[in-house]
Amino acid sequence: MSIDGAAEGGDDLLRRARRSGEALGQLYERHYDGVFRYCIHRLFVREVAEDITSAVFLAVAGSIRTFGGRCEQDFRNWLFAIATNRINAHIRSSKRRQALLAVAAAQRRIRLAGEPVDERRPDWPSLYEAIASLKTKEQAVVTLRGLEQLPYEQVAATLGIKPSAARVRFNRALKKLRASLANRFGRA
Amino acid sequence: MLTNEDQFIRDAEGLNIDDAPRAAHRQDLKRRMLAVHEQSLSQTERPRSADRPLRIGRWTVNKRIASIAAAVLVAACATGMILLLTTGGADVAWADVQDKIRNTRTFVFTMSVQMEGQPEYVMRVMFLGPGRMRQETIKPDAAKGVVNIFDLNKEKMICLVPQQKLARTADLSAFPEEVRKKHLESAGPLSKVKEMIKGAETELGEKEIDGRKAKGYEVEKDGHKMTVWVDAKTAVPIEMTTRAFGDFQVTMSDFELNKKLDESLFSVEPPEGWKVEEFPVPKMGTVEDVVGLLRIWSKVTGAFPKGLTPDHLVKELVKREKECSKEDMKKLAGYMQQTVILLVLHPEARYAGEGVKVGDAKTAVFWYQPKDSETYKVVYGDLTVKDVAEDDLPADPRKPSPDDEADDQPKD
Repeated sequence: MSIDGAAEGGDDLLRRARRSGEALGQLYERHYDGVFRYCIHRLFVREVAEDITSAVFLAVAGSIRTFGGRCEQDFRNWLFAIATNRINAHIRSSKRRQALLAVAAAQRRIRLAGEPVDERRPDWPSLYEAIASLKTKEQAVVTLRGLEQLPYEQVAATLGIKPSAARVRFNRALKKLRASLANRFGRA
Repeated sequence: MLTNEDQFIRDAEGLNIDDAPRAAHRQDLKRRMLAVHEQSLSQTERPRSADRPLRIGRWTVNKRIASIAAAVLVAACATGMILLLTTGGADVAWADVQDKIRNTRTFVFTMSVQMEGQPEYVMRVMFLGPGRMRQETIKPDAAKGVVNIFDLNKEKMICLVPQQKLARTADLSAFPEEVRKKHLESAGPLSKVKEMIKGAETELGEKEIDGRKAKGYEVEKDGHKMTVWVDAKTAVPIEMTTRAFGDFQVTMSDFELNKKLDESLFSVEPPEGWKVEEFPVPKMGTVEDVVGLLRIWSKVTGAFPKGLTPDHLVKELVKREKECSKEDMKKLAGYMQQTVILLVLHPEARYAGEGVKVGDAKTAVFWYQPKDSETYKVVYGDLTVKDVAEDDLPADPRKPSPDDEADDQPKD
């Protein structure tokens, strides 16, 4: 799930990608999966995640020429920052947020009907519903750290906060998630 | 689960999440992304005469300085339209349309250029190949009857204002090379166009236009799309429209191919008895012009302008005319004109001064790359200028970036 480690030559690739479609294509291949997974983990619905992923890379294509980052890590942080803001903008609409939750709830019900439930380990729809009940900034940090497994330095760079603040925010969110899932399952 | 951070991560890995990307989306998005990238590069590296000169043209016309820029604008639009038109595919019907253009010696049409909030420009445009063009202004009323004639073989241009019996002449060879190149590229399309017939088009079916059965095509080049309707029988163009150039709505109609055009229509000699003026040879804008503009502007308004486009500056200036001394106004007009030239010649130039505190020595408000320079000239909020490497430039203020998009960035 993680997208760790810039591949060798990535920094040069970023420099070339400002003016070369071929180089940008290579960067895209390296980072598409990571961005898409982050989007689907935040948005649950594949089609919506694909739309946001598209918006991210199209925005990048239009502005990479003047992107000020120096290394591939900067580029990756940039991708995740754009994705975070696009996602937040999407779920800021309560209608759209409710639509995503409705899909998650439906999937949860289907799973509950078809599989035995391990109350100690909630399934993905249940966890998503719990994460979605958090504040937007907490959702971002939980997903980036807990699901994408980004180091705190990268989480912080993506969200424009200090690593220590990212750590505090993650642990605070974890506590809320525990409470939320305990209500749902009786324990978590 | 969720007992601690490590446990959460381990357990999350065990979740059965359907998060594998779809190859089809990945491929499709890559194609779209590279097209956007290519378009972005072409817009910044190729002449952007169709991007900005309408504003320049309008401003210069308003200021009664010259209509050369407006003429160049229209020529640029015409060129763009024709380039699009002649980028077609192998279909027999489309090939007929191309042949009509390829084999025509003269090409006449009416062109309307519209942008929201701007007066409509309507011109009758005539090409007499190679390298000669005449534009007769129909709209707006203030410019009705004004004629611009380009003769690229002689490298001359003339603007005729019949109401004033005034002829403004320009020796294009005397212009700075970059400006001249743009004028030539904008105004000399026909022979070049005939060599550029390749590409692909989409058929749009048939419809009736003014009682004539018309066949439609969508032509695309460099990310710009144009709709072309031609006479289904003769393949002569009936109407072409595009929004390819930014906010422009450009429509060409009333085509006449191989119309006999009198040579005298393309004379660049001033009519006898008319007053003759020469267009001043424009100087190249420099960073000093931008600094001068920002200095006077901030002195008058107490802040940096929202943008450097002539439209915005002129509108704001009109409001504050009384607050600005005549001397400052005169200097400002000069700086603005030079800055506009700089912006046209340097599409990589960026302005980010809106909201920056005057005197802020740490925040860049403007930057561009002078010709043949490895580094950029960067102007800061205290109006100092520094040379900065491309990698150290601030983020592009016109494009999405983490900062731009961080309208709801969490802040601790």
